[in-house]
Amino acid sequence: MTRSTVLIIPAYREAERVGAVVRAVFATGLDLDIVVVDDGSPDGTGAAARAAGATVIRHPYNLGYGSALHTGYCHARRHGYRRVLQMDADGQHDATMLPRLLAALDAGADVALGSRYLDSAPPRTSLLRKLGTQLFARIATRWTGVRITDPTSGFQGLSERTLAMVVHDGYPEDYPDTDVLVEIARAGLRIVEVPVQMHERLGGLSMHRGARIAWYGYKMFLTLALLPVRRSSPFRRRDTVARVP
Amino acid sequence: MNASLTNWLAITQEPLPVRQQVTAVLLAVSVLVTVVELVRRRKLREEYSWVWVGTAIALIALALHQDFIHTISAWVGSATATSTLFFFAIVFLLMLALQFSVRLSKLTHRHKTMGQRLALLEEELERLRGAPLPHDAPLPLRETTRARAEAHPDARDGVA
Repeated sequence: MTRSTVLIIPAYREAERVGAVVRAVFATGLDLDIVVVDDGSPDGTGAAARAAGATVIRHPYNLGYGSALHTGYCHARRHGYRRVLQMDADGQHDATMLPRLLAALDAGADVALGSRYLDSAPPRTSLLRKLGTQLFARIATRWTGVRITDPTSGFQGLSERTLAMVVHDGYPEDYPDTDVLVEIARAGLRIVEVPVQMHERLGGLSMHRGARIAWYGYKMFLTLALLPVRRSSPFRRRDTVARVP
Repeated sequence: MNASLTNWLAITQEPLPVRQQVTAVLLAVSVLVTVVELVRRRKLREEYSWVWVGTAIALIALALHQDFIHTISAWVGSATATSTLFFFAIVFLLMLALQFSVRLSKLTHRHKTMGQRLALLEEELERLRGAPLPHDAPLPLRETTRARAEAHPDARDGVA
């Protein structure tokens, strides 16, 4: 392992899309390792990603989007990567935007947050989701002290310092966004939003739909309220997964 | 002392009907026997059994010595012995459900951590072997069972 940058792609039931995403990243010619974390998909997502040339880490059962990211972070930590990029496996994130995230990291950002609302027309979405995004964007802006327009974006770049921070066991299992950003900002790390283009999903199902939106709201408010006083792990060790063997 | 208070005290002091007493004792004894039997068969861990053993013994004691239940009724201000029993039963079940939620949270966390570490180890193993593990195409269940039956023809119920 000589490369210093790893791209983490959490994937669940994306067998038809993940291959194209991986190939699009290779096509950019960027010097990075691609790791697809298959979150226990029953449809051969892992095999498709491997066929496209990515390294595959396969959860034995479905653990949630946040856990898949967390596994990727722990892998990056174990292997000593200096920079982490992350993008979704459903084709919403454009691989040609990755250099923008890298440039922001090179310029000293600890988190480069790809925002679809900064300078291009965002993809269509439901009214409820739009309102929710605005609400949490406001909360994130107030609590981090940085203007944040797209707190739910999974298109990000992280510095080594941020990576060391997010490998703890308490990393959120389902929706890691506003709460993680606030936690990172509280630790004194620098968050920078980067304008990126996003596409509409190529198919499959969004994580943010139906009753899950209510659960998202409840969970996010509870986590944010408890953030200053909450332990990072129920056990004494706070990084059981990332521990280098 | 006014009439309603006298009336209330009279109800409070009234002994449990014999049928209720017998039912309570029978129920408690059967709970006790079931719990001990489950522990004997190793279907219930000792750490979970003590709550049930304790409850059964408490039920028997309360049914046999009704003074306890009347004293407790007076303390909590309930009108009858049966409502005291119901009240404490519900409180007990709530506490138990909360306790189970806590245990479940802990197990979920461990289960998740184990899954993640397994995934990372398998990736490491694949890297060392230089080939993917064959889990992307698991054998259909029926074939697995048949293969096991052929390998261990004497085994019962697929237990090899």
